[in-house]
Order: sequence, then structure tokens, then C-alpha cells
Amino acid sequence: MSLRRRMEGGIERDLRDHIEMATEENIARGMPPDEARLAALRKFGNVLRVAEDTRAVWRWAWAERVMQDIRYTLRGLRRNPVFAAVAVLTLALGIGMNSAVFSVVSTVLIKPLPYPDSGRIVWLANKSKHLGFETATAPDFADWREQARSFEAMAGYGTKDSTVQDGEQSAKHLFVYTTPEFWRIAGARPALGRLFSDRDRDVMVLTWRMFQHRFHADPRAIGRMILVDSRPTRIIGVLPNNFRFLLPSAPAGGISGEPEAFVPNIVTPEMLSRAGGLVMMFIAGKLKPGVSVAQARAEIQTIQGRVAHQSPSMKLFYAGAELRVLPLKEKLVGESRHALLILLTAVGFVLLIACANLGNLLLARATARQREIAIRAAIGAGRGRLLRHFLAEGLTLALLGGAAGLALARVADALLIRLSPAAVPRLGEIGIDWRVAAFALTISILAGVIFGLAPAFSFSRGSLYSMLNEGGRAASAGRGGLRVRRLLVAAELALALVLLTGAGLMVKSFARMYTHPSSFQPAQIGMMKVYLMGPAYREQTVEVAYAGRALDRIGRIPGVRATAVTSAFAFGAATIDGMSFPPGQAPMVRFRNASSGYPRVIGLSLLRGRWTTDDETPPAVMVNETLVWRVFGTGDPLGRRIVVFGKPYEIVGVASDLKISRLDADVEPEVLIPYKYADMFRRMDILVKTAGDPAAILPEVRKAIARLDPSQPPYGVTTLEDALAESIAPQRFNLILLGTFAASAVLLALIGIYGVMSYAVTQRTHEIGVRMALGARRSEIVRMVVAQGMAVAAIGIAAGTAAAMGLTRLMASLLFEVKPTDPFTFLAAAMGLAATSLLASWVPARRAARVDPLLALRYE
Amino acid sequence: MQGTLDLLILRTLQAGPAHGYAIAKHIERHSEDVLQVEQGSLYPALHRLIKRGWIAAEEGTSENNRRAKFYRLTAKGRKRLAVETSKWERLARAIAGILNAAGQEGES
Repeated sequence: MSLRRRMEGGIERDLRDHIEMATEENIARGMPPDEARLAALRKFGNVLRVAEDTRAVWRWAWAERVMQDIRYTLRGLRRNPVFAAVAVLTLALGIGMNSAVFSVVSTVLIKPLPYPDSGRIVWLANKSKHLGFETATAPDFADWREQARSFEAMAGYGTKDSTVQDGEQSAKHLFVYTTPEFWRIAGARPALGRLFSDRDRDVMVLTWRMFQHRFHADPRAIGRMILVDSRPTRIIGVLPNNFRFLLPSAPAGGISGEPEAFVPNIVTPEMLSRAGGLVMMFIAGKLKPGVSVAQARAEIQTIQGRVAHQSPSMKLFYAGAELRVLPLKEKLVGESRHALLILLTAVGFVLLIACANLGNLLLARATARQREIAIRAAIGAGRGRLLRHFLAEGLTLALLGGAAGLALARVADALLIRLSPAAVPRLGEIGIDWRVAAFALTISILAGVIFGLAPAFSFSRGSLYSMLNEGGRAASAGRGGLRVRRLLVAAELALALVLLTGAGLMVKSFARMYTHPSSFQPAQIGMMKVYLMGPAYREQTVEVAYAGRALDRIGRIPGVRATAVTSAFAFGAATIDGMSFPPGQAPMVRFRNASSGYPRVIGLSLLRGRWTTDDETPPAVMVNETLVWRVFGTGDPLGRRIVVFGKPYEIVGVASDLKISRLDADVEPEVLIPYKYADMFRRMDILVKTAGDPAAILPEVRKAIARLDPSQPPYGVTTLEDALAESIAPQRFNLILLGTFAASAVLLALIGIYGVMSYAVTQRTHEIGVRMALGARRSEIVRMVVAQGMAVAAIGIAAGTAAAMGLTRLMASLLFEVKPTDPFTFLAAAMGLAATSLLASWVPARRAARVDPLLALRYE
Repeated sequence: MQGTLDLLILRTLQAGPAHGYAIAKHIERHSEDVLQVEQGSLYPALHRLIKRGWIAAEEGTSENNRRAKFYRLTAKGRKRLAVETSKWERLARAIAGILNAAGQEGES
């Protein structure tokens, strides 16, 4: 038997023994037995309390009292299931949304990358200040790797869309080509076989996924030869299932998602020559322990200062570039941080509103329970005891809500991953882990304390006795409570309005992004890519002939209204015969090769001059509106000659602007060059405009193209609409989340205002009865109640508009062509909230007007 | 004055094991009625000391042959008592010193 059990067991007997000894002694001193016993008892004190206090020594008394309070609360909730359900659901919504957003924040911003010592991994590049892109060249890589002392390892890498041909089957896969140092940086170990080293040529390492899907997880795949971009390549190893490639890379072709295989990046001596051409690559490195990013950056800067002048062709680029050395994690998630923090704040608002609603509910309940509470106070429950009771009630609800919220967050996480895996880096890894659980527990407890204390304070002014006297009707605490409740609702409305305005601004941004002329119907345009590879395609004429045959085949498929091939192949400074720009000031333009069907497929309209055909002699091109404006201003472009890679073309037509690659950017100046003039036409987009849904025809188009040359599989099959949607995946992610938060916030705030007005009406039933008995008309009663509700709404809306003015500025970077203080959006959000508030207070007002004066007067 | 009661109990038990009533009487007699506590408050204190391991309880028989629970000091309790006593004495000396000094200043 434990000491505790033994000691607790004997308490009553010990106390009895004590009192008997004292009684006996008193008798021995000559007292009569009755008196002797009373004297002993008097001297001893309250036996029951002593027993209780003694027992308490052995207990965690505090916890026990809390358990008692929780049991009491649960009993109360079971008696009032509607209240319990509303409270728990409200909280589950608030805590669930918060936990889901936090799980994203935790995974993306807090969780370390899945590489050993990932804090030491950095990403290096030269960033062009003019164009914004970041890159490094092969000679940069070689010089940095050889000369820098700050690094344990440095890898040059990139991604590409490669054709894998295994027997008859051929398909495109996203490949990483990298120098072998990558394995060391990422701490990778093979699950099967081995990883490549410096000596390996024509080998590949599979990811677990490709090993499963393409090779059915057959270990005999190791050692097999397959064709990768027509080169015989040996499979030497497989990476484990949990290995992730997270280094930043330019999107390769039409393949999104994670790479599926790794091949060596062979840096040849020719590539390393600074005198020659430019081979671009990305560079990642692992710092030696104790070396700071700043030190590494300074060292690379010094090296670069010594070697940069040796690259004459890069002179211009280097002059306008700054060296960037960033922790890998910063590079990966830096751009998402701002948006995620805004979302976290927004969802925090939803929780605040939920808490305010809960506080409101509990206040109403506390008022309804005035008698019970007053009686408890009267029979000896101290203020502390009552406070603890309210806290226990709040915490019990909060923890129930938190548990339900976590379940909700699991579902929400699954939805988020489905929604747009590409919207946020590492989104696929989100889930409910201990961090999220701890977060949910913390906010549950905080929320429980906050709204648990609200009713406790409404009883603070010693009003308990007057309550008991007034029989629980409209006591002073009730009035005070109502004022608190109106304030809470006004605050809810203000918060909801901030969210609604933010969401409204995002919606408007979206509308701006999707502003297209009606001739552009991306939903009816299917697209796929072909990247001609291998020894058969080394001649421009062969490539162009392939494209011509493809157009011919596709054109014959029923349901195809127009078709085109195109390739936006370069971006460079405009060179116009007879015009000169100050150095570095020439407008940058996009060069696009396209077949003559292109304008018809995407719906360009002709503004000036004429369309080009597929055979233009002398060479002729079209330009778009933006180019005309940027390069020629108000001048006439027709007849002017533009130089593209040394060849002059006459501008014969001007086409309208159209955003067909990214929705969240301005239209780029563009030159449309007939595809037969392309120096090289290996990588092409094939566009098909259909009468109906492209999905019905695309498989056939795909088959037709595959038949042209089975070794050149088409890939990246999609519709232009989906491709455009993909280009704004992060914005859509933000919009959907912010929209959901705003909708929840408004709903909760409306429940809040409805609740308060209903409560006010119930409380004033007697008064309303009197008014009606004295001749007030029903419409007057309705007006009175609605006016009160709207007074609360007006305060909330005014405060919310003011707060939104300050806060929407923070989301300026998430908006597109919309100012953060867009008056239209502000007005629309305020009006919308006002209108719904009107409805929410009108319903209880109607109920008030239906009060029967006779019944109401008897309502004592 | 929880700590004081604890110290008095320990001090009482230094003379040898005793049952609850005897401890209460002893404290009453020797504290010159300074500590006017209800006897009942002794028991939570006793149990607290048992929980800390400073005293132990065992069954025994009282002087007039009654069965009773006897409390005795443990080795740990003895050490504790020494520490607490010297602390008390230091404190008492310090207070006495201050009071004396104040008295002398008043006289001069």
C-alpha cells in the first residue's frame, strides 16, 4: 500500500483518537463527560475541515478542483446541447482554420529543409538588376568552386525535360543534371545501387517515384541501359522514397512538379572558357561549419572581382548584376513569407471574431444563469471560485473546440494540397505534426481564457446580491453585459470588414488579371509541347519540316478550328535600324517564332498593316501594341526594320496585346517572326483551337503527333486556360484562403449581431409590450430594434474601414493593378456588410413586433 | 505561520516519538500560548511533514494503553531540524541585535 493511501486511510480514526484522549483528560480533571467532549471539540476545531485539509496534503488539490469544475461544465453543456454545439462548432472553425494555416507556415517557414545541416546550404547567383533573373555561368561555377575556401562543397545544377526511351515506350520526364557534389550537400544516400561521382558518364539515378512508376520497383532495373535524349544511359541507383529535391530551378518546358531522375552535369573544358559562349547553371553550396553567409558572400565577391573581366560576352550582364548568396531556405520561401504572414494574420482575425462570439454567448448564458450564480455565491462560493468556474467553462469549450478544430485542420490540409500544390514551396509536406498540435493547444487555451473571463468580469461589481433580489430579470449586470456585448459585436464587424475588404481587393486583382478581349478564349485552346531531340534533328530544315507536317496532320482532325506552332525563344534588347538608345536603355523585347495560324488560334486582332504569312520574302515580322508604344512611341512602325540576332526584318503589321504566358504580369513587347526563319526550331508549343472542349480532341492530337516520330513524345498536354491558371497559382491560393476567411468572418459577425439583437429583444419583451399597449405601431417597434442593430453595425463598419485603410497597405504586393485603398472595393465591402447586418437585425426586430402586449405584460 | 508550526513539531519530536495529542499539548505548554492554534491544524502539518519524509508514523500504544499513531523524527527530519534551528537562531540574534541597538539609541 502506498504511503499516501495508508496515511489518507487513517485520518478519521486519528482525529477521533485525538478528541477521545482530550475528552478523557478533561474528565480526569473533573469535567462532566458531555462538557468534556464539547471542550475537546472546541479546542480541536472543525473536524470535517481538518480531515479535508489533511487529505488535501496528499492530493494535487488544484487539479481536483479543476476536474470538478470541468465535470460541472460538461453537465451544464449536456443540459444545453444547442449552446454546446454552436460554441464548439464556432471554435472548431476558428481553431481549425488557424491550425491549417499554421501548418502551412510551420512547414514552409519554420521546419528545416530535409537535408542534414540544412542551415549551412546556400544558393549563389548573379542577379540582373535590370531584368530580375538570377543565374550563373559554368566559368563562374568553376572559379568559385576552385578558389573559395568558405565551402565544404559546391554543386552546379539545372533541370531539363528529357526523353526517356525504353524499348518502344518513350516519354518526357523532368531531369536534374548536377555535379556530384550535390549528393554531399543534400546528404543523399542511395536506396539501391549507387550515386554517380566525377568519373561517371552516361549514367542516371532514379527517384523512388520513377523507379516505382516506370520500372515497377524491379531491382533488376539497376544496371539496365535506356535511352535518355537518344544517348544510351545506364541506371546505376535509386534514391530513397523520402528524398526531396528542393533546390530552386527554372521551370523546364511544360513539366511541373518534382524531378524524377538525376544525371551528371558534365562541365567540359570548353564550357569553362570565359572567352567562349555562356552555359548557364544554378549553383548551390554548403558552408563550412562556422562560416557565415556574409563571409562567404564577401569571398565570392572578391573572386568574382578577379575573374569577371575575363568574360567579354558577359561584360554587360555583370555590370548590371549583383552577387547573391542566400541561405537556401530563404531563397526557397522568402517570396512566400509575406503572403503567408498576411494569411496568418487574417485567419487570426477569424479566431478573434469566433472568441468574441463565444464571449457573447457565454455572457448571454451567464445572464440567464444569474440566479444560479447568485445562489452559488450566497452559499459560499467565493469570487475566486466563480472565476475559476467561468474559466473552466471557457477552457472546456475551447479544448473541445480545439480537438474538433484539429480534425478540421487535417481535412483542410488535404484540401490545400489538392487545391494547388505548386502555389507554395513545400506545400506537399504539410500536415498535423506536434508543432501544429502545440499551436492548436496554445490558441485553444488562450481563447478559452479570453472568452471565459468575459462573463466573469460582467459580475465584478458586487452585483450578485441585487441579482438574487431582482429575481434574475434585467439586473444591472445584464445591462452592463449588453453594453459589453454590443461592443464585442461592433469589434467583430470591424474585423470582418477588414477581411472582407482584403478579399475584395484580391477579387478585383483577379478580375484585372483575367481581363481578356472576347476573341481570346483560353478554355478552347489546347496545347502541348514537343522538344525534338537526338541525331535526327540537327538541321533547321528538318525541324521546320517536322512542324509543318504536325500542322498538316492536326489540321485534318475533325473539330479542330485552327492550329499553330510557336516558340517564345528569346528575350533581348530591341535593335531598330536607324534608331539608337542610350547604353542599357534599349527596351527589352520578347522574340517569338510562330506559324501563320497563331493569331487566329489565340485571337489576336490586326491594328495596322497586314498579317504575315509562313513564307515572307523579304523577311517580314509583326509586332504588338506594347512594342510599338515602348519603342516607337507615337511614331509609325510600319516599314521600319528590326534586327533579331543579326538578321533584319521589316515590320509589316501591328497586332493587339494579349497575355498568354503569365496573368500576373504586364504584356511584354513582342516580335512575331514566321517560324521558318528560326535559327533552330526544336522546342515548340503546339496550339489547337477547338470548337468545343479541347479535352475531347487533345488525346487524338497527341496520338497524331506521336505517330509523326515515336521517339519524340509530346508532353505538357493542357489547355491554355489551365496553363494560365497555373501561372497565378500562388495568387489563387491566397485569394481562396483570404476569401474563405472573409466569408467565415462575416458569417460569424452576423451570427454575433443576430444573437445580440435577439437577446436584447427578449430582454425588452416587457418594455415592448408596454410600448405597444400605449399605442406604438409594429413598424415603429421594428424600426426601433433595427435602428439599434444598425447603430452597432455603423460603429463596427466605421472602425473596420479605418482599420482596413491602414492594414490593406501591407498586402500591396499581393495585388495586381489595384490600389490597396481602392475606393470602390472599400465602399462595396462596407455596403455589403451593412446590408447583411440590416438583415441580421431585421429578423429579431420582426419577432419583437409580433409580441402580444397582453402576454408581454404578464411576462414578469 | 506554517513554517513555525512545522519547526515546533520537529522540535517536539526530537525528544522522542509521540502521538498527535501529546504533540499538541507539548506545543501548547512550551510556546507560552504564543501560538493559539486550534489543535486540528496540527494534522495537515503532520501529514505534510510525513509527505516530505521528515517524520514517520507508526502504530503504538499510549501511556494509558490506548492504541494510537505515533510520530517520530527521521534522519532526514533531524538534519532539517538542525538547519532550521540554526536559521531561526541567526534570525533571532539579528532581530535582537536590531532591537537592542534601537533601544540604546533611544536612551542616549
